[in-house]
Formats: sequence, structure tokens, C-alpha cells
Amino acid sequence: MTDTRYMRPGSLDEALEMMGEHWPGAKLLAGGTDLIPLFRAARYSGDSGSADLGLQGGCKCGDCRIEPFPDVLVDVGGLDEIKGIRRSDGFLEVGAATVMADIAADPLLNETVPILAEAARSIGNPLVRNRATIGGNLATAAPCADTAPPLLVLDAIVQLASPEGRRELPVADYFLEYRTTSLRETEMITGLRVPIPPERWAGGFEKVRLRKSGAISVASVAVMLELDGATCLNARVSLGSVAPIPLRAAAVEKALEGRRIDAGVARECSRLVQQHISPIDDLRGSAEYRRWVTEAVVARTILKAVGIEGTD
Amino acid sequence: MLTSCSNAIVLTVNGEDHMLVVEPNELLVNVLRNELGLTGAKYGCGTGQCGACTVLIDGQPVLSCITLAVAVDGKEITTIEGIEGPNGELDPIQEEFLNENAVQCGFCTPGMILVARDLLRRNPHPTETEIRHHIKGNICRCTGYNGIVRAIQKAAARQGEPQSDGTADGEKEVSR
Repeated sequence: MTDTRYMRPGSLDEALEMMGEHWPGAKLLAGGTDLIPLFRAARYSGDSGSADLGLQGGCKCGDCRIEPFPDVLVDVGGLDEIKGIRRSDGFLEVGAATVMADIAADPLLNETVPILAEAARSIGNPLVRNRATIGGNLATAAPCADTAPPLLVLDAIVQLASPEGRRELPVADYFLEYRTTSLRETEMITGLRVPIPPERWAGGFEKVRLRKSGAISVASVAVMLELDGATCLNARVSLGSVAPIPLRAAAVEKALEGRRIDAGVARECSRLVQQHISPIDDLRGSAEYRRWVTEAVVARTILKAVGIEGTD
Repeated sequence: MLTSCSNAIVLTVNGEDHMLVVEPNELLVNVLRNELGLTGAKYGCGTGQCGACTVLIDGQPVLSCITLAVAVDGKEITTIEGIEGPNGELDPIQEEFLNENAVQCGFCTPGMILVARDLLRRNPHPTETEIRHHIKGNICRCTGYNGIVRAIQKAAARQGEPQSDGTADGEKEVSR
């Protein structure tokens, strides 16, 4: 028995109305691949006198808060208005309720922003990807959210809506601190606008994980470089799982600019990543290992973007 | 027990409509097993990592242990019990699982077979890499997977002529 009420809005406006009416007791649900285990962990965490089933920690991250089922669940997973991938001017628009399987397989997305497709493919397992949404990946704001590093280097824009109106925010301004975002009360993510990189930009994405599937990242790296031959004109480098939030590595970016990229340069610039990261020890790896592997993988991803693979 | 929060839902399970009253936090796997007596889908990890609870929702494999029953109101659900032929004959994938000894303890088998069915529907002649990629969400602790992969290959071969292209990228997602 539960006091939770389940609501399924028929439109985005209706969803916003429900959020406004039931705030702060309302929570959005889409794929539920993160939230349902999290809610259920709270049920078994002993606070209600029930048996401790060892599910504390809820989220598979191992370091997340435990959350009970909310008073009201607003299920936006089926809202067609915030689903799908389309091209609009120089942007790719991705609805917040688009599932990872669709992002991974979409031909247009694979052609224009392949690093985002690659990140989506690296998430969970094929069954999780059939339900997990890109909006949910950002909304739970885990440091290990795998679509965050590519969205950061693509300079993507998060589209937000609340009963008060709509606004847009660069994804870099969305993550504030550990599990804390710029989302205001009653506000929800409706989609992403991803600028389609011009011809000269090339990218790479790498995820360090303990197994091939169903693995949360130990560290993840995304890179976008504007290249003139092997010379880097502009660089964007971002990291996941090695700080309280996914973030850009400005020092590495600055060091790469104007350089002709080879293995030595990549290695040299990647060292600067250390000043940006503050990894923790957890089940997936020690802080020390994460420092070491992040630097190595930043170098590898830079080379991958330039088209030099396997030399490092 | 009926409460103010209970929801009346209709699930079409294996072609049959069921009107049910469920709590909003009730998991689909528990409704299938406890209310409808369909025990093919297993409750394994309860966190969406093992795949034992796999069912098809509108033809697509989904983890029923992290899916709320209310959230699939009005949907068509297929469990392992629903894939037999009109006279109770086994599905070719089931037959090949038996032929290849792809079953040991059997806990993963319903999920494996449903995922294989989804794969063969969308990609009738998958490469071995594609098969292994597609079953990554379903964990088997007994067989070492080789029998399972062979069974899916054999079932694919029974569907007609395979394509000669063995070079497909295993990491590629098959479009839906």
C-alpha cells in the first residue's frame, strides 16, 4: 500500500500544470531506470522498520541519495511532444523523453554528432536503453551521466519549461554541484538543442568501465577539436565521473589550441587535466587510479579525434 | 487492498485483456507473477541489471522489475508463456535452445528467448557479434553463453537464407 499518486499527463502543458499544483510533492518519471530502483531502495532501507535488504545506496552509482516514492508521480515518458530527433537550422533537436536506444540508432544523429550516439550506446544495457531517456540522464544529475560529457563539448543547450514559462540554458550552466542543477521549482527538461558542428570539427568519446555492458563509468572523456590538418584551432574537452559534476577541462583546451597534434602533444596537454578533477574512491576504482586513467584517456581521446589511434 | 491511490488498468497480456486494480508503486513483474500467475518472467536483481524479468511491451524488450504496472496501462505485453504456437507448439527459438542445450538452471531463459525474438524480428540474420551485443542485458551464470548464441544462430538459419555479410559492426544498434 502506498500514498503515492500516479498521473499521466496527455500533454506538456498538462504535465506542467500537475507539477505546479503538486509541488513540492511531485516528481517527474520518464523511463524510471534510475528512479524506480532508487525509490524502492528507500522502502527497504530500514527507516520504515522493514528488513534491511542491503539495497542502501539505491542508485547503482553507489554514492547517491536514497529517495522514497514521492506523493505524486507525473509520468512524462509517453509524451510525444518531448520525444524524437529532428534537424532545425544548424541544430539537432532531441526531445527529453527520447530513449537511449533511439539516440544510439538514429542515422541523422550518428552522422552529425556521433560522440553523443556513442555515449548513448555505452549506457546500461540494451534493455535499459529501451527505456532510459536523455532528459532523465541529465535530470538525475549523476556525475557519471554518460551523455553529459558529449553534450558539454558540443555546447548543447538545455530547454526547460515550468508553469511560469520556458527558458534555455547552456548545458555547462546546468550542473551546479553534486546532484544539484539549475532546475527551478516545478521546472522540467523538455529537450536539448545541439549545434551541429561545422566540417572542420572532429570528436571522440571514451568511457572507462569495468565490463562491456551494464557498467557505470569509472571515468569518461569527450573531445571536440576544430582542426586544420593536424593543427588544433579550437579545443573542447570534458570529463565525467571524476568530479562532483561533469565538467570541461579549460586548461587542457587552452594548451591544445594552436598546436599540431601528435602523441607527445596529446600526452603533454592531458597532464593539465589533473587540476580540474577531484575523483573519489568507490567500488569502481580508487581516486588514484582515476587520476591516472583520466589523464591517459584524455590523451587517447584527443588522438582519436585527430584520427590517430592506438599509438599511445 | 483498494485505496484512494489504487489505479484501474487494462493490460493486454499474451493477447488477452486483463482489468486490474494496482497500487501505483506495483512492479509489472509482480503483477504478472502474482496476479496473473505468469511465472515465466523472473524477479532477479530487482534493479534492472540482470534481465531475468524481461518481457516484451508493444514488441520491445523491457525490464519488468523496474517498470511500474500503471505505466504500461493499455499496452500489449508478451511474456514467455505467450510465444507458443496456436496448438501449443514451441517457438523455433525455444526448440533450438533445447537442441543446443542452451538451458541449464533456466532462470535467464525466458528473458534470453524474448530478447532473441526481438533481435530476429528486426534483424533476421544477425552476425555472432550482433547476437552477443543484443543479449548483453541478460546475464546467464550457467552456460557461458555459447549454447545460447548457437541456438539463436540456428533459429535465425531456420528463417530462410542468411545474408553473406559477416562484417557488420557489433556495436551498432539495430534501428527499431
